Amino acid sequence: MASEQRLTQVFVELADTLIDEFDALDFLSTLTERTVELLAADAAGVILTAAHGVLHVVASTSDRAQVLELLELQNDEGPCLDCLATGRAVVNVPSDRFRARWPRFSAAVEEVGFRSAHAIPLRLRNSVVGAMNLFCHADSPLSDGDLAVGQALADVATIGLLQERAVRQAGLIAEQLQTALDNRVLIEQAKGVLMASAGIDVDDAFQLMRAYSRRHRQAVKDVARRVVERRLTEADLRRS
Amino acid sequence: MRTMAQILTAITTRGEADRPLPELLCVECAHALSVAAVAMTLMSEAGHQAVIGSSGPLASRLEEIQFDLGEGPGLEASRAQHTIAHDDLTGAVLTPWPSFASAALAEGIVAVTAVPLRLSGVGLGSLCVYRSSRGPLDQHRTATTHAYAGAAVGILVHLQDQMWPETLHPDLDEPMVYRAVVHQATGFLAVKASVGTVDALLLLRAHAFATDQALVHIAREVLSGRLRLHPEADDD
Repeated sequence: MASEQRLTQVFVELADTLIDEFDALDFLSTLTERTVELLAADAAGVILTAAHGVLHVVASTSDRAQVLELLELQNDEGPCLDCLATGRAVVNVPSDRFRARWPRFSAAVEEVGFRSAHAIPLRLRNSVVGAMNLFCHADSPLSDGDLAVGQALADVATIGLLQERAVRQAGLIAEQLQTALDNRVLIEQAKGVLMASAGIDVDDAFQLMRAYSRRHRQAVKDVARRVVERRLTEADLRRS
Repeated sequence: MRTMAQILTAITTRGEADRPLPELLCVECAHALSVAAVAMTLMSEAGHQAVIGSSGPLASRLEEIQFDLGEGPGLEASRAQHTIAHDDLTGAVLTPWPSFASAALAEGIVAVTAVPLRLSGVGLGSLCVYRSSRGPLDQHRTATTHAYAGAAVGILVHLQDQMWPETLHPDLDEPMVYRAVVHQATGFLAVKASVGTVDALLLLRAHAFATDQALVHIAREVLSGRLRLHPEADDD
């Protein structure tokens, strides 16, 4: 169990990385390093969920831990996946049950010299954003105190990740808003170009672009852009 | 002082589901600040603009003038990405938008504050606050103005988050229908005068300014063929 003073230092360090320029990878690297130190584990790694349930290994304290996590993903078994599915910590599983539940994963763990593995969720309310894996050379169980510290560290990580995600999504929406406005203007301009060059009315101009976009499976805004740039003429649009 | 969250709650719970949120925000903001007019404008990095909300007819008129001239405090704030404040337009104050300033004075506006709408470093447009009495906004009203600008950004994100990436939310798209004809005339004139769309829009604006007519009117005249802004020889 870590000293209280050291624990406080680590939380201050993690909180500091949450402000200003937040880098998720740097942040999670710090998290795994400090977790290994504070919980007397030998290696740690983080797996994050992304869109469509895809998992990514994003940080680990050693190559071996990373190898194991990759194996875990490939084999579709292991404490980390159970932890992600339930949102609960998977710790101190007795070795016989460990082998029975995850045969290939436990074999891989032992092969690289670890004796035990644990998983702590990164979660906020109903949202599980990932899990942290701990690997130990000794078959030593985590104490309740260790688990509390581990979960507290994971909670800080979760808030950091959710904040970063919210900021990133907002930025994405801001860009989409700009693009949508530009497309709207571009389509109107393209109607005007066709009206002038082909002598057709505004509705026919739009129908012409829309029919072409359907035939060629291209978005109307892309067709409009090429019309405004004069790379597509009325004759091109009518040609089937 | 109302916070951004309080403003958003007040607007979204007003039960006026048929009125677009940007318009409600402008109405609320004009009321909270006791000012003559408030308007909200989108602007892309490419310079395309769309007036998406106004507190009433005066705000609509002021934004139309700004759009027609292609100059004004809202556009300046959007481009410069910082607040533009002029507390007395009646004095011999030099603004970067003299034509807009005199037009605003003619409408009884003597002071204006324009706040850029920004999100994650991306400029989205501006919120314009028009006043009929001169003098700076005090600290309290300045804070309120910025809270409304924050709420305006919140509304934009809220609306656009429900949409497919490349289409505008109806509340943002519908106000654009009125000026669609200007963009059509821009494309039309670009072909007839053999110029780019940026120059074509400048030609339209220059003619509207010179003849003291609305840009939308000039655009309709150009599209109908009643008005030629291009040399005869280039016509076929």
